[in-house]
Amino acid sequence: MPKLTIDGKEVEVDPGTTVIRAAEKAGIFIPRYCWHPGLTIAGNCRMCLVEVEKMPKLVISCSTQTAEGMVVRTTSPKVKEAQDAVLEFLLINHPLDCPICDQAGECKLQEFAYGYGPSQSRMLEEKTHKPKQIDIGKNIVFDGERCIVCTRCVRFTQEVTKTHELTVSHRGDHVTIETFPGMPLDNAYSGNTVDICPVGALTLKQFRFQQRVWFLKDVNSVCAGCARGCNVFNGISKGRILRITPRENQDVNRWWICDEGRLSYEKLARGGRIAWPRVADRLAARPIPESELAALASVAAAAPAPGAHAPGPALAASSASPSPAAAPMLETSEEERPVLPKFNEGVPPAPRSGGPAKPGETVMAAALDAAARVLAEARAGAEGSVEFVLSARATNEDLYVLGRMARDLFGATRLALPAHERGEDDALLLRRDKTPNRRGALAILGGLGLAVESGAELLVRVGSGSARAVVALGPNLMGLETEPLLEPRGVPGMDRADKGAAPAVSGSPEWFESLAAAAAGTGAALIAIDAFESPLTSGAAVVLPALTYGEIEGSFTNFEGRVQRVRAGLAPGADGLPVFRIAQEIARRLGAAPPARHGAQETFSALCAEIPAFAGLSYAKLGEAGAPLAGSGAESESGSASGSGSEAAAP
Amino acid sequence: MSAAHDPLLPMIDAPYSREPVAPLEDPDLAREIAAVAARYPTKQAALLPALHLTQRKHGWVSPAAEAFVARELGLPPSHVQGAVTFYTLYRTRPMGRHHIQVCRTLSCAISGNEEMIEYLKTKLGIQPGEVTPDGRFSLVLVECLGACGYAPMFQVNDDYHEHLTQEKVDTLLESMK
Amino acid sequence: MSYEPVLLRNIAKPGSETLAVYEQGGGYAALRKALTSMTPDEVLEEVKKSGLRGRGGAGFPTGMKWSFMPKETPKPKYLVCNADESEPGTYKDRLLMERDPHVMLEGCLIACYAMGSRRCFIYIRGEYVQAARTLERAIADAYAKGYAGANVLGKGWDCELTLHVGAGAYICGEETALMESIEGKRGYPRLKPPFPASFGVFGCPTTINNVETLSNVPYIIDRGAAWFTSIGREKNTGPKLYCVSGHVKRPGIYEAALGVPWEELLNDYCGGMSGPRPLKAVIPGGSSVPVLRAEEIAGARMDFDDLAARKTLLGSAGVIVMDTSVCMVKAIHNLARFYAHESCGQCTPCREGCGWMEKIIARVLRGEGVPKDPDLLLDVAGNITGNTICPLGDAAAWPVQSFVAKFRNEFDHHIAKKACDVS
Repeated sequence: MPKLTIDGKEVEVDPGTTVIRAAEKAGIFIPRYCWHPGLTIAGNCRMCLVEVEKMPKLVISCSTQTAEGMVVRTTSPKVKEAQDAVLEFLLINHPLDCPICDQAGECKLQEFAYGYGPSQSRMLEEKTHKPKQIDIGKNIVFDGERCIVCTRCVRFTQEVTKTHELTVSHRGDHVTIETFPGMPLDNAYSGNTVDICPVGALTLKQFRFQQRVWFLKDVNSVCAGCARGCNVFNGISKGRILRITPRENQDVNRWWICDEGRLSYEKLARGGRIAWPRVADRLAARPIPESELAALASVAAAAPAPGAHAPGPALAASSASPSPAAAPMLETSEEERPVLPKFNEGVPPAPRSGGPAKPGETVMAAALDAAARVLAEARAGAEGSVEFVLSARATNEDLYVLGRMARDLFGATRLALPAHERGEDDALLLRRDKTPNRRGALAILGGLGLAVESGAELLVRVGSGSARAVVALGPNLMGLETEPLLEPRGVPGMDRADKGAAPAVSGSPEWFESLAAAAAGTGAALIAIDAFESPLTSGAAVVLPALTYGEIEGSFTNFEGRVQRVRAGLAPGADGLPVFRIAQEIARRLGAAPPARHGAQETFSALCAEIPAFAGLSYAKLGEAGAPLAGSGAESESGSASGSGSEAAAP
Repeated sequence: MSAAHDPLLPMIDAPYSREPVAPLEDPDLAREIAAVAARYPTKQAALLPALHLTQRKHGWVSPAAEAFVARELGLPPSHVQGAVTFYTLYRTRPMGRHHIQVCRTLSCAISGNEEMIEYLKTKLGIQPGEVTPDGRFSLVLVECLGACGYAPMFQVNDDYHEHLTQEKVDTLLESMK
Repeated sequence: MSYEPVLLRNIAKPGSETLAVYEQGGGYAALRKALTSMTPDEVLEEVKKSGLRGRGGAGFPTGMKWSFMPKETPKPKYLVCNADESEPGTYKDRLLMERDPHVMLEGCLIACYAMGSRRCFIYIRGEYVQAARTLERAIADAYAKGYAGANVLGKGWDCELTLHVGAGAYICGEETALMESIEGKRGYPRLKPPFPASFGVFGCPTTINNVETLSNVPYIIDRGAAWFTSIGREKNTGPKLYCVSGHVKRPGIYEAALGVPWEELLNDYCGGMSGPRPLKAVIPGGSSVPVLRAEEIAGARMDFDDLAARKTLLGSAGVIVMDTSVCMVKAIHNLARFYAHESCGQCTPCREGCGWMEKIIARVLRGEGVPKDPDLLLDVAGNITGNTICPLGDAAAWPVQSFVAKFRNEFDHHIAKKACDVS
């Protein structure tokens, strides 16, 4: 373990560590452009030059190996002179684009020029001109004049995606980055080149000129696009997510995200957001008078459904009737304050079923009442089940509360968990499973003793008329679209009235349409919870808007069993609630009394207390990088600091 | 848009273009390239020889030729493009039948090549980097050719012509059809 | 001059490039001697004792370079013969290859034997078409006669010779860029460490030697290290080819003992200045070495150490002679343009700095110079040196520094008067 001294600080490192990493360990930052821990060493920018005692010339710290007793200086006069020289060289042909360049505010040339470079220009010549504003890929624009030819982007396409779209072309001060005709930068990870480009030579078309980055607030979160759960920053301004960038997590996505995930926020802006709760005309959306509340609760408490378990703390019935103060006002916790719908201020629009809302009542409360009434009636009925369709796009918290409700209040033993799959797993990040929480769903439902059935079986039961009500989470909870597989995979076909039609794949739009049709056709009351309209919601008896990606606090469990937090950064975009709050509110109306201040964090704690796989976890434990389920094997890499930078393998 | 006005710098046809390029077809050349590649520990090492063979046969290295060589050697086309634009001997545009390469470096420059360059420009009626309209001559300025003591001189296609005088230049050009 | 040519002893003979003529002159006897009666280590020792220093420009002791090759290694060991000769003012290797190719091939074979290598790549610049054709023929003939290939001279030792033709890049004369070029890539110099002897071409231990360097080896083996050291002086031994160009009566390639006095080279070999104008400046070792004023080269011995003492270098022995008709601003612009054109573009100081220096000098030549420009040039050149991946940065900077320092008055005149006071 060599011990060396950097700027007077002694630091011990693993053998094979380069000086730049050793400096990092000692808390010393050495400016650099071409070096990136996820790519091989290039050594061409010369920005990281340092002085090493007994070596005649300055050396680049990104490739120089540490040695026992080495004495390194990163701020000596010689080093400062070299840094000034290198920056002057980089600036002489660099265009004066800052006012129109997206990179401003996060540009390493700006930063290092300010910190280490000259303050005046001595360049009197015409700058070298190169190809500019080149449409180099479906998502990327290239500017050859801004490019400092660090070759990070080229090495990315050679080593990480191994797609080789980019090359350095020409020679001398005319070098530039090019693609071969007919082979643009169109791979599934092209957006990462924009992140690693230290300057504004590569910019994302979707973000170009959208916002100055110093106005963006970066919220730590994870992508909800697939089961990988890449760690991201949601860059938020003007009340929207304006861009998504990767957040480094060596155990999940290293430094990268896929283009689809990077652009997933765009779908949040598409039309079809369910803005208000809706109740079918036939169900009067009127507030439940106190007398009726009492009756509802007693009905629910007196007739436990077969197979019901004793309700746990989250849903315990504390008294036969909930206190008047509990209905219809929604309880909020500190954590949820940002979630409180602002639509409830002032006079809300009348619920669709007609009749003005009384002061103090909210549309959401009225709709929740309607849903509760429907479910209570269904439960009280002599025959007929209440079916549940969950979603692997819901958070752990959502699934836990809904699962408890299904089991404890309705005696459910099995529920559907539609799949949303597309494409194939690739060698880098992409997963065929386009849901962020299937593993969490399975762990939670399994821990609750609930079985997961195929969507086809559920359709059969609903279609046969044996269901009195269906509570369904829709496919668009995270704002992402559902696309059907080209071929059904592993889902048994189902009998439909019109035999000969291809079976609808569970999770596809056709499947949800079939579900809504089956419910309507058999008179089962469909309670749909989703963020965006779909065939499911257009035919539902009660539509409860869920809050969507960027508006919710919660956690997802990725396919490797890592539990990670998804964070809110946006004000709600609809008069809705997080799914778990909807479930809690319905359950409370049915006789379960939630403890005060039951937000996402408390719900997660309750989840961890009951589900064995989640034992020992908490939001604090999850931190910013997540934590593994017990026995999942998704342990952290031992991540030695001596990595030489040539670890370019896929995670 | 090409990077350079300097006629010495190659101009690849339409980099960044979305139009796919069909590799040229030449089974004989492919066999030759395979034979060369067999002599090296890696196929990639045959890149420069393969490009030379291709240029000798087809006159210049077009994007189709690059795609062809890339395919024969199992290399990414972008890699081949990077190499072709790096080395000045690979022509990325058709040149004249008689490609006149005049050294412009110091020893030749102070020994008469400067004057000869002006003479050639006038006589041929073209600027360096250009081809005569009849396709007979092209003129480029190149760096030191290793004939420093034999100036004035130039190289036409493969051959060096040294100790030139105006008369010798006239005779030479006349003989090159 | 009582000097007896060694390297050039064959070239006057008709058919000197053929194997028959080479053998008639005693060719391949050294190879036979090495394979028959010397061990590889003995061959290496002989070359070490001879004091042969690299003739490509760096002047590194050849025997020492050979000794860097690992003795035991599972990887194949390679010799690369650097025939990329592109240093302005240098054209000696071309003469050897066109007129006496076998001496170089024999040197390659002996070197391979000494280092335990079984394969030599000869990297020749693409412009040298005639030399390449001659070499191809010579290699084929050597194979046919059993001097190369399998079971050389029946001694159970194999050695492959492969000619590899470059494609127009001065930087590929730099040993690590040359290796990249052989491997089929852009000629980008590599970071060192690792050094070629541990990680070279195809990742295998490699030694790179110049054509002229290797051409000395058969003579060293044939005549002995003692003979070699009798030519020249300590640390500057052996015969040397000098490439003279510019304003001399008889420019050309001349052989003399290393350390020939400057006046002898100029006057006796080259016939003195070509015209009535006196000597103004000399670049003694190819364009990358600092220029000398006429009075600075007076009395010089043209060897490594004497020129180093005069703050320049023997380099590739490309001697460029300039009389008073040469405008030094124009001359350095010519060289600055060369380096800007040849810079590979990989690292920041060389890529941007070479282009910048050329632009500044061009502006001065156009009559748009400002008084700060000479100092700016010195500063820019100084910012390049020492900060680059390979020596091309230094090679571009030193000429600028030396021209500006030694001919400052011409720069000042161009700037002040917007005209040239020379031509």
